[in-house]
Amino acid sequence: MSGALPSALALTLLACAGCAAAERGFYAPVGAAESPSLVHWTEGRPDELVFEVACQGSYLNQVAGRPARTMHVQLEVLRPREGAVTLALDALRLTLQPADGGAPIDLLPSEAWWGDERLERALRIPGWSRRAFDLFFDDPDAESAPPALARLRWTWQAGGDTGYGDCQFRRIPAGGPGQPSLDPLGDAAFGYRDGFYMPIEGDLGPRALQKGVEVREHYVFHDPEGWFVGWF
Amino acid sequence: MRILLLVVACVVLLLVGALLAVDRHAPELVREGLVRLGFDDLVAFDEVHADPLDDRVVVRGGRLIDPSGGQIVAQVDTLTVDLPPGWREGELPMPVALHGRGGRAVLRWDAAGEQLTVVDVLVDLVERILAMLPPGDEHHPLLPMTFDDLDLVVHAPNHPLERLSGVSVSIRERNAVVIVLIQPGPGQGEVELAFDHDGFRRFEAHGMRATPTLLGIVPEVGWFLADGLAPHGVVDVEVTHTDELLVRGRVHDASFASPYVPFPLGPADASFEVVGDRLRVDEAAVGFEGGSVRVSMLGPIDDLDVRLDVAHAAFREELLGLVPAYARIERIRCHDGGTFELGLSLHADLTDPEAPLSIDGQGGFHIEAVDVTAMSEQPLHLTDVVGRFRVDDEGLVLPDVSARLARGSVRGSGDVSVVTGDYHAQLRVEDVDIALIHPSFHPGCECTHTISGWLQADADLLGTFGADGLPTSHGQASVRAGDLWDTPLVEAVLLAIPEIGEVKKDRQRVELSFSTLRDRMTIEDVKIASDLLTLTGQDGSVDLDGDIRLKLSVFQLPFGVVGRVLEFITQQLLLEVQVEGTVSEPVVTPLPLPVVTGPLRSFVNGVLGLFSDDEEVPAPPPAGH
Repeated sequence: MSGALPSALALTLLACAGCAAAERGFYAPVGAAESPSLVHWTEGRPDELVFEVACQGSYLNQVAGRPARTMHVQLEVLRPREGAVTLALDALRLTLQPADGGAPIDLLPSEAWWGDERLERALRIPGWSRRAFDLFFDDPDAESAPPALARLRWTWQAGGDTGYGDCQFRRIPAGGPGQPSLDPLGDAAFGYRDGFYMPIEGDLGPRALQKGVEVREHYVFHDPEGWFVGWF
Repeated sequence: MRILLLVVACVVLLLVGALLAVDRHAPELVREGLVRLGFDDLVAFDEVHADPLDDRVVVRGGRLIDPSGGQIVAQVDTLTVDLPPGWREGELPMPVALHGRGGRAVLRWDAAGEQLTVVDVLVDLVERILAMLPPGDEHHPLLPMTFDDLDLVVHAPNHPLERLSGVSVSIRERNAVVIVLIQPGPGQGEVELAFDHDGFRRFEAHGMRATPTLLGIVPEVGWFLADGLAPHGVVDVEVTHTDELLVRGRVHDASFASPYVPFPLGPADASFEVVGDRLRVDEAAVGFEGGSVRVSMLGPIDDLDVRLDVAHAAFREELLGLVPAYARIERIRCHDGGTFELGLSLHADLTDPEAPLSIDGQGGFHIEAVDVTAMSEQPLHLTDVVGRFRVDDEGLVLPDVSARLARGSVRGSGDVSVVTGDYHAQLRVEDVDIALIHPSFHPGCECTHTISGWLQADADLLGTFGADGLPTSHGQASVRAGDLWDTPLVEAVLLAIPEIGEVKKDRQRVELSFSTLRDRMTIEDVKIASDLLTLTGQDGSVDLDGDIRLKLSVFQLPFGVVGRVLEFITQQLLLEVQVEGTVSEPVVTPLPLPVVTGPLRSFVNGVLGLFSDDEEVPAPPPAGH
C-alpha cells in the first residue's frame, strides 16, 4: 500500500492511538563485516550439522494485547546425515545486554514457528533435512531500548549426542552502515527488504500469523500498516 | 586345487617316464613301458637322454594329452632326473631328485563354463597311477621334486586371458603327507596343497592373485567373482573337502572393476566362505573414493541375498551412474561434494544377467551443488541439496528434499521409476530472488534486463527423464516486492499504449497460474500489478523457443477492496493488447477500444489522479534475504 492519502491516514491513526514511533534495533553477528543486507551467523560441520542464525532485530509489537519489545531470531538447521536433531525450547536462551549497561536479561522463546506451524516444546530437524524456524523472545518491558548485544545459546541432542551452540549479535549503530533503509516497504505483504524483517520504524502492531496464499520459508507475523490496508 | 593336481600329475608321470628311460635304448623302452602301463594315450615325449657319467637322465618335450581328442593340454620342456652315483646301465635305479624347467599348462573352460579338459585328463592319470600302487607303498618316501619357469594359462570364454608366468613348484613329503608348494614368482604369493593316500586333503593360497586363484578353486563362484566383480588383488584361501567342498578365504588389498559398477572399487578386505554351493560373505569392507561399503552375501549364487551398507561417504557424481535413469537426466547435473548414506538389500540370481533383481533400501544424501537446466543454457544453481530416499523394485521415492536456491529455498517430494525414468514430483519454491534466476528462464536469449523480486511457487510435475521438452505440470507462482518494469513484455506494453502515460514504477506483484506440456507453457491466468497499473491475461502461451501469445488487459487502478470493486466494474472499459513475437522481443498490438469506454476511461484516470503520489520514492530492489 502506498499513496499519499493512505499514508497520511495511517500516520494520523497511529498518532491518535498514542503509538509514537518506537526505536528499532538491527543486528549483525559480532565480528561480521558491514553489509547492506542481513548477515547470518553460520557454524557447524557440513557433513553433520549446520546452524545458521539471523537476528531480525528488536522491535516493539503487541503480544496478547500487551506491548512487548521482541527480539526476533531466525534459525535454520541443516542436518546432512541420519538421525533427527532436537532443540528443546527451554534449552534455547537469549541473553540481552541492555544498552544502558544494566544487568543482562535472560529470555526463553515466547513463540517458535516452523513456517506457519507453531511449535510448543522443541524444534525438531529430521535426518537428511533442513528446517527454518522463527523464534520470538519477548521482553515485557516495552519501554526498554533495543539491547546493545544479544547472545543466543542452545543445546541440541541427536540420539545419544549432545552439543551446544552459542552466537552473539551486536546492534548496528542507528544510521550507520549495515542498517537497512527505513523507507516504507514496497510490499508489506512480503515483509522483507534486504533480508531484514519489516525494516521500518514504529510499533509493528499485533503479532499473529498473517494470512497469505503463498507458502513461505519465513512467514509474516505483523501488519504494521493497520486495518485500512487493502481498502485502496 | 585342480591347477595343482595338474602339476603333481605331471611330476608323477615324468618320474615314471624317467625311471623307465634309464637305458641306452631309453626312448624305445619308455614308449614300450607307457604302452604296457596303459599310459600311452595320456603322455608322450620327444626324447630321453641318459648319461651315466652325469648320473642323470634328461627328458625333453614331455606332454600330457587329452585321450578323447588327442590335444596336448600340458607340457614340460626339460625334466632332469638325478640318479644315485654308481648306477649301472640296464638297471632301474631309484631317483634321488627330480627337477623340471620350462613348460606350460592350459586351463580352458568350454562355452558352458564348466569343463576343464586338463583337469579331467589329470584326474584320469592320477587314478590310473593310484590303481597301480601296491598296498603299503604309500609309506615309501617321496623324492624331492622341483619345477621352475612354468607358465600357467587360464582361458575362459568372454574373459581376459589370465597368465601366471615363471611359476615354481616344489614337492616334498612330511609325515606321510605330500606337500606341493607353488610360487608364481617373487612377491606373488604361494599356494600349498596337501595330499595323503586318500587323495586331496587341503589347499591353501596366500597372497595369490585373486581372479585366477578363485577361478581355479571354485569355478562356479569364481565365475561370478571374475565376471561380476573383476577383482584385482591378493587372496588367502583354504580349501578342504570332506563331505562337501569347504572354502574359506580372504581377499585383501583388492580392487574391483565390475561392469555393474560405473567406478572402481577398492581397496577391499573381504572374508568369504563357500560351503557346497553356498557363498557367505560377512561385512566385507570394500572401499571406493570417498567411503566404503560393507557387503554381506549369503546363499547360492543363483539365489543370493546381498546387503550393502554405506555409512557417511563422500558424494561424487559418478556414484549416480548406479541409478539406471541418471544418464538420461540431462537437465540435472550433480557436482562432487557432500555426503550420503545407503542401506540396500538385494536378492539376485547372479548366474542369469537377465533375471530380475529385487531391491529394497533407503538412505539419505547431501549434495553441495546441483545444476538444473530450465529454459535456457544458464542453469539454476542449487546448493546444499539434502534429502532422504527409499528404493525398491518399483523405483526411487524421495519424500522430502530441499535445497538452497538464490537466497531462498526449494522443497520437493516425488518418485522416479528407475526402469523407465518416469517421475512425479511436487515442488515448492520459497522466497527465491528472481534477480538471480530469471536468466535461466529466457529461452534462447541472454537476458540483460534488471529484474528483481521474490518468488514463491508450487507445481506438480509429471514426466520422463530423457524425454524432450518440458514435463507436464500444473502450478502457480507469485512474485512479491517485484521490479519487473525492465522486462521486455512490460516495456512493450507501456510503449504500445500511450494512453497510460507516465507510470510511477513502484513495486509490483505477480500472480500466475500455469501448466506445461511438451514444449509449451500455458499461462492460464496472469496478473502483474503495481499500485496504479495492472496487467491481466488469460489463456496465453510461451513455447520453449521463446514464442509468446498472450492477450493482456491493462487498467490503471489501485489495489485493495475498493480497487477490486473498481476492477470488476472497469472490466468493460479496459484496454486490451495482443502480445506476440518472442519473450525477448515481444510485439504488442493494441486492440480496438470500444467507443463507450474512451470517455469513461478518461473519467477513471481523472479520479485516480487524486490518489497519485509523485513524491513517494519507490523502494530499491531487494538485494538480499
